[in-house]
Amino acid sequence: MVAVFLLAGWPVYRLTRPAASVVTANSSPVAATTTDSPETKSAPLELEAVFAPAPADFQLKNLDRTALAGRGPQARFTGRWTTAVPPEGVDLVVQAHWSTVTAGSSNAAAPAANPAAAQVTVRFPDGRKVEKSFWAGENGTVDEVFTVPGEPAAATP
Amino acid sequence: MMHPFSRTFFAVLAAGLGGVGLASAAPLKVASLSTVLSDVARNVGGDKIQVEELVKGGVDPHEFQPSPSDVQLVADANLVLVSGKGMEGYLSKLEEGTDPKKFVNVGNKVGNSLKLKDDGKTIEDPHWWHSVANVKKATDVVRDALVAAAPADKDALTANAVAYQGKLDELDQAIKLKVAELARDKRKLVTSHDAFQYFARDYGFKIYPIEGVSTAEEPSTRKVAELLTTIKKEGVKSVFFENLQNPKVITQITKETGATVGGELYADGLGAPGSDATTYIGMLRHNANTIVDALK
Ligand SMILES: [Zn+2]
Repeated sequence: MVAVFLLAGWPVYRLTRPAASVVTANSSPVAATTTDSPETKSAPLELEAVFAPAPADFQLKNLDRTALAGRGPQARFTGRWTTAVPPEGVDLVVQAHWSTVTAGSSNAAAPAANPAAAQVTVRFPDGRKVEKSFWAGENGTVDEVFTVPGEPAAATP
Repeated sequence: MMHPFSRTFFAVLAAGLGGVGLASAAPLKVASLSTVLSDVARNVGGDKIQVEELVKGGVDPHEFQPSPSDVQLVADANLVLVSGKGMEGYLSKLEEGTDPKKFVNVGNKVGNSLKLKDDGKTIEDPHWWHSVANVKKATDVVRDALVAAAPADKDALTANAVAYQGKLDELDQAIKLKVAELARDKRKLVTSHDAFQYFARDYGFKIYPIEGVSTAEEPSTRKVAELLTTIKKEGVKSVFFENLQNPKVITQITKETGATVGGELYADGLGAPGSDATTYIGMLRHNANTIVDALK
């Protein structure tokens, strides 16, 4: 993951060391709880979303439920989301908007800005962790799907 | 339905029609045995090519057999786009009567095959176009073939391919977001024949086909009975029929299981003129929307 960031010019330091402009918040602006289905047990998942730069707003959604949401100037958000995780996994829709940042296409008249990006991490109670990075499109938004696997074998150690 | 063409017929007819050349300014003649590849070729080739569709929208490619006029189109063509992975059982006969080098087996070049058990044999699943990633690769294959045949048009063909692949990326993202409206443990798809395994692999579905890989097979009574049990056990909400199939068995299933008819899917290629699946992108959008809206 880090190698990918380096190759692509991702400002890794902004994800690993909060800069002066990045406020760390450990409270969850929105946390949702779902009901169990007969076949699956609920699990309290720890969600983390880190942005560079801070987004205008973002949300992580599963079906019609919001799992985590917030707005800038914070750049890091965490929260607990309790949900049923079937063996097939769950999909999180990741939506983020940046008000002043566009995609990292270079401009001949000015130095290219770093592209806006988000990294979402999901931690299971048993220590499993899955994460994925998303880059803003040309319109300065992310609108993508992050599949959280239900099978332990498919998770990142 | 099989047409009684012999190898001799193909060879004699093509020999009489072969050797047709084109002035360099004329558009490249591209014959296509796949509705999806016709659409890809039109997007990449633009006004640099003239696409001759042997298999037209709404025609079942499993059952298709070339007519004498189709053989002439192949003989006249500079390139012939082949769906591949075993879809065209008549291909060797068609190749025999003309220059085999002008055949581009796109599906085989795309690779990334799924293997299926069909009638006790392991075969390649020929329905590769239900993966958008595969169609992006097919776009590269078609571009390379067109550039090789018309090197002077390389820049335009390359730009067209890039633009089309951008649209395919948008399509893939739109399907992922649409499918995310459906819980992953509800992604169970009962279809007329086994055509959606690539879609299932890319978007997290499990397929319960009524028939096998080819539309030529009729489902056995035992197979239908097994399927009825599965639909009830898995709580499948809706079942789907196809634009080229008789929905009789689907009707029986809905009566006996309580599942609803989810709608019509395009399994084997683009729809007939006037349908909402006259382009590849339209077809995939229709299928994803129909499936998700019915199973939600
Ligand atoms: Zn088929």
